[in-house]
Amino acid sequence: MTAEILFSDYFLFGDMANVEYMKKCLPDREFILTDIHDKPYFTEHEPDLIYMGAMSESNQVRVIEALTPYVDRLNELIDKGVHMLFTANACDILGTSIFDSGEKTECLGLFDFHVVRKMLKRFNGMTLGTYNGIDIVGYKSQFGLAFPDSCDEKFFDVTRGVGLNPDCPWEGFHRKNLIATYLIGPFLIINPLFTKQWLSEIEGKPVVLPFEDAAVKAYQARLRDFKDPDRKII
Amino acid sequence: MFRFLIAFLLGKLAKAALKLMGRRATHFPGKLAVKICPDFLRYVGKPGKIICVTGTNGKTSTCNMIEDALRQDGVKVLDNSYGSNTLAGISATLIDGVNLFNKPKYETMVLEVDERSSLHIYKYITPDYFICTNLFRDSLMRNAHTEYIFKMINDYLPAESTLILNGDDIISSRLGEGKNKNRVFFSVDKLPGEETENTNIINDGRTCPVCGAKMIYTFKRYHHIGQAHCSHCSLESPASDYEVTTADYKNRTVTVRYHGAEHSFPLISDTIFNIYNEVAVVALLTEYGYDDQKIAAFLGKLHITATRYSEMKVGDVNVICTMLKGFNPIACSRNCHTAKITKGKKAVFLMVDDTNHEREDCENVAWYYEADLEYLNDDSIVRIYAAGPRADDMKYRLLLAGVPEEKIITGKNEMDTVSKVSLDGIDTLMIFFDMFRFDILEKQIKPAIAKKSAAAGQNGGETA
Repeated sequence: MTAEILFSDYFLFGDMANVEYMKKCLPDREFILTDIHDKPYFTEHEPDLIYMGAMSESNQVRVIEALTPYVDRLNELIDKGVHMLFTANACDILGTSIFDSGEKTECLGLFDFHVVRKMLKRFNGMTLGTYNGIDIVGYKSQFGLAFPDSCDEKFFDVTRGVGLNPDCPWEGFHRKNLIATYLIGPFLIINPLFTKQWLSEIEGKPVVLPFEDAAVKAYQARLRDFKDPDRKII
Repeated sequence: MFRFLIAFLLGKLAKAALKLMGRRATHFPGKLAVKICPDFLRYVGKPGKIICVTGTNGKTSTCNMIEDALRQDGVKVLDNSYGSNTLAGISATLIDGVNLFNKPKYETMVLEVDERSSLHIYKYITPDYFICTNLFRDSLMRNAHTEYIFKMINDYLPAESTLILNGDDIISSRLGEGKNKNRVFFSVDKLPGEETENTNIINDGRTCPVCGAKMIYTFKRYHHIGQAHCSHCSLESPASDYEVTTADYKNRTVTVRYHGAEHSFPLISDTIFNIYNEVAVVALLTEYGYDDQKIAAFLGKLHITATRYSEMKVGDVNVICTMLKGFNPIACSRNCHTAKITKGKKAVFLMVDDTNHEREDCENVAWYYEADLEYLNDDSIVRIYAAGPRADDMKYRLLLAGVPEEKIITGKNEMDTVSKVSLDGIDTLMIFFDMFRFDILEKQIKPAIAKKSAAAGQNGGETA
């Protein structure tokens, strides 16, 4: 398996740990770290996985500039079923545009949603939902909220907490093997059951997570709390 | 103005009433005043000289040192050391700082200012001197990232202020660029025997804040602290005006080069963070007008505040308690590094779980994966205790950091965990506690640990 990590120098909010975790889970696989001034590997090759994580708002603009020439190629790879994971505000760039204080930033337009960003109002929250029969947990910490336009390609239904925005009952986006979620945690580490299933699917064989029992114990403790009706979830 | 008068009088009344009730009244009177008069800070009387200190780490220690130094010289100093560093706390401080006729009772004000509160403070308060100790990644829930905090400060910083900035910080050293005429920089040269690390998880200066290209470090102390230049544009670390050239840990002196000469001062603390704080204070006091001998005399009588750092002896074991802000991966990383390099066998007790935020219905453990907990994977660290509702997450983080499972002991809260603490086979127990856990540390944890010694028939004594 070859995984391309896009612009990891920009990653924030613990998202680099998703990469380190995948390396631990798949120690024999090749991970290509693409720099902002590099031509992405996916433009001329077909990686098995593409990942991108959280970044600052100015770096979002740089990433949009860097990827805009390759929108058709990205669409082609999505259609071919290449696995892709976008976490936190890396999801923003997949939509049509970001609105911030009267300014509009055009994004890649791979999905039909827009983002409204308020730099003086940071949204923090927790989310619980179910995907493929697996409970998904995670945290949100972001300036922008996504608003689907005609898009209904959801990642999962939210059972507690907030979805894409306070009025949206679902979280993230999902098309073929592309998954985009605003959840951090890091997402892959705090969702061991999902990660095990997802990586096994990519590998085509069962994957064992490092210290799997300990990962599941921490996950179950969080799940218990998130499901506790006495625990308020934003 | 009428609103201000009402706000001022009610603020004064609230202050008096709360003090009668034995409270410090460092927040509510200010909150009330600002609620009534949103631009309360514009009208309230202010001392003639104003020093503001901000930054991710070290602002409280730096403020305390400045206040102590000025007071040693007989200066009447108003400070917010007992209050919050946000708009309400600073307003409450200023209510205290004036008489009933709104005339200042103090000559100088030293304010610790929360970075995110810059927009509320600098609109109405123009510091004569402004220190930024550093800008690092802090609570992701509150401060997001350094670019955000930099902009928050820079957009509101008055152009008239003299800025005293960390020249080893490629992020905060750009404050006031092209706006403030007076900017001086402090730095710490590579110290003799100092190990330089390039393995930190976080480097907020990995890419250029101007053009986004890779930064090249000629010297990296830790994270993004060091000397750097951009691989693409002209951005580079500024030349230093106040540079620590050596630190003599044996003779307890630190040498600072400025104004073309080397000056020796007492070394207040061995930790590099505090050496940065100390040189920032030397720069401030020099710019303020003091000569090196006077500054050396001030510094000779200073120490780091006990609420942040304390030591006690329990039998033969040193118990060192260090406060670190939860959600702050840099503070956690630096303290884990200190744990690694401290001599002897050690145990580490982590009280950094975000219990306080859980009460506020929100939590986030992502920062565990930005802190260099790998430092705790060391033969000299024989046990690690993790306390709190997310102790299992901390355990998993430590396992991924390479710490053997048998060294990790967890508990659902601090008291549950402290009951499992053993002082056997260690020279030092290092307790890292979140700022919101200070009370429980003092009232429950320290006594419980002292009892372990009593149970073993030993005596304990505390020093701060």
